[in-house]
Amino acid sequence: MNLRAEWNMKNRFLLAVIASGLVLFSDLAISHHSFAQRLAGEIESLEFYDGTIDLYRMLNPHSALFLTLENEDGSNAEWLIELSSASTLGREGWTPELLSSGDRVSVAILASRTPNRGRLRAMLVHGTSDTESSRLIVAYGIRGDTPIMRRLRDRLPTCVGMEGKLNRGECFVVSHAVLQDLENEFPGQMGYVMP
Amino acid sequence: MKIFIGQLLSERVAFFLVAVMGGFFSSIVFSQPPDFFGRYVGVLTIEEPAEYLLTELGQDSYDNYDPNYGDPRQWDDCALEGIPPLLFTPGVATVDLLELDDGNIEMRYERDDAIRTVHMNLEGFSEDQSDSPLGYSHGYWIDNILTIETSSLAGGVVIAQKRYPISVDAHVTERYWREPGDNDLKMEVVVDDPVNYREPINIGRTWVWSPDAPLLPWDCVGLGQRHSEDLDISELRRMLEEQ
Repeated sequence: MNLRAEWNMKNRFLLAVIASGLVLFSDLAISHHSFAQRLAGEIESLEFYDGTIDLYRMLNPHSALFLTLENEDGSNAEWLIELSSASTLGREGWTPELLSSGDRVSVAILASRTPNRGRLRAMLVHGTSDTESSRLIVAYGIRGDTPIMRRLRDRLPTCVGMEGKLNRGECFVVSHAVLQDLENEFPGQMGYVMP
Repeated sequence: MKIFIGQLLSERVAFFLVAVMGGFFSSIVFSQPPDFFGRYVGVLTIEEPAEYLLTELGQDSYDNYDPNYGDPRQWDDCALEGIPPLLFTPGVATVDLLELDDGNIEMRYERDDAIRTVHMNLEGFSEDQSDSPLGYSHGYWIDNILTIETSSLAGGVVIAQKRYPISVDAHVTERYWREPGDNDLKMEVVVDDPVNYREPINIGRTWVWSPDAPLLPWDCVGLGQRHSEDLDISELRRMLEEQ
């Protein structure tokens, strides 16, 4: 085999490797793109607000939370947030008295394309005084046996009488000190319920 | 001596007859349907096939179905869940199995307050059943297995919030049985839908015998259409406050 033929062979091999790599990479890129597209609806619509509870009703097929939430510009907007059915939440220990009108909350909402409407990903119900613990309620998107839930279960006690046995929602008690630790460990808006 | 032999023979004949008759009656008793009836709660996990072998049309339906838009409950909270998704609801899975006086079976589900009649004979059955979410169900016993065949379905998806389609021409067969010494019901569902699948789909679930579990009224309340900008949230809140 002369030098030119050897060079050609090496080049062909190199080209084949590069071509295979490109095919593989493009496939991965497409896969990643389609995966991102599937997730985009959730990631892009996850919104964070502070506000108060106006009304909480346990209903079938979806329980409802009406909230007044503060926009970045300081204005307020009324929101309808959906929870799981009364039928399942009731079996996990939720009661109509769990949440009250006037409770101060910070929420992470999976906003739907309809304005001011969405599903609850997580809600921190603030204690009414500096000494009263808050409650962290988690629901759509992260409930069940997920890394976020394992993280929370490892660190936080669950609310009395509530048990997420149907994977619809879960409630944790969060003292001020522990909340501070969580916020330091998982920075960003409600970083402790984010991937 | 002759009398003794005669007595002995007659005793043996009598014993034989008793044994035969006993076996006969016990076979009648044991071939009766087992007492399945009562309340059950479905376990959370269902046993799905490793792969759904979709036809070209089925794959097309799968690719183009978005549960956030395609599910009728996105438009009407109180739209009935049909067969087979009703059999796989994850959280609201309490059902009463009742035997009616006419021999038919009634299945009362907490979800949607749905009541399903399983016709145990085909008297009066017409092929011209209109399609509906629960379809038309005909049941029978094979040994100790309750088999329910359902057709005239409304179509949609096999499992709610998943994308596997089911056509209006699908035929769904449910089989329920108890393992020896166990009160729970094993359920096997076979979806035969050549429009969408190259071979029938088998899905399993266990229903736990739960005589003390509550079966609560569903009392559906609609929260308005998702994806609609016409919803007046304040008005809906006021309406619920008054309830």
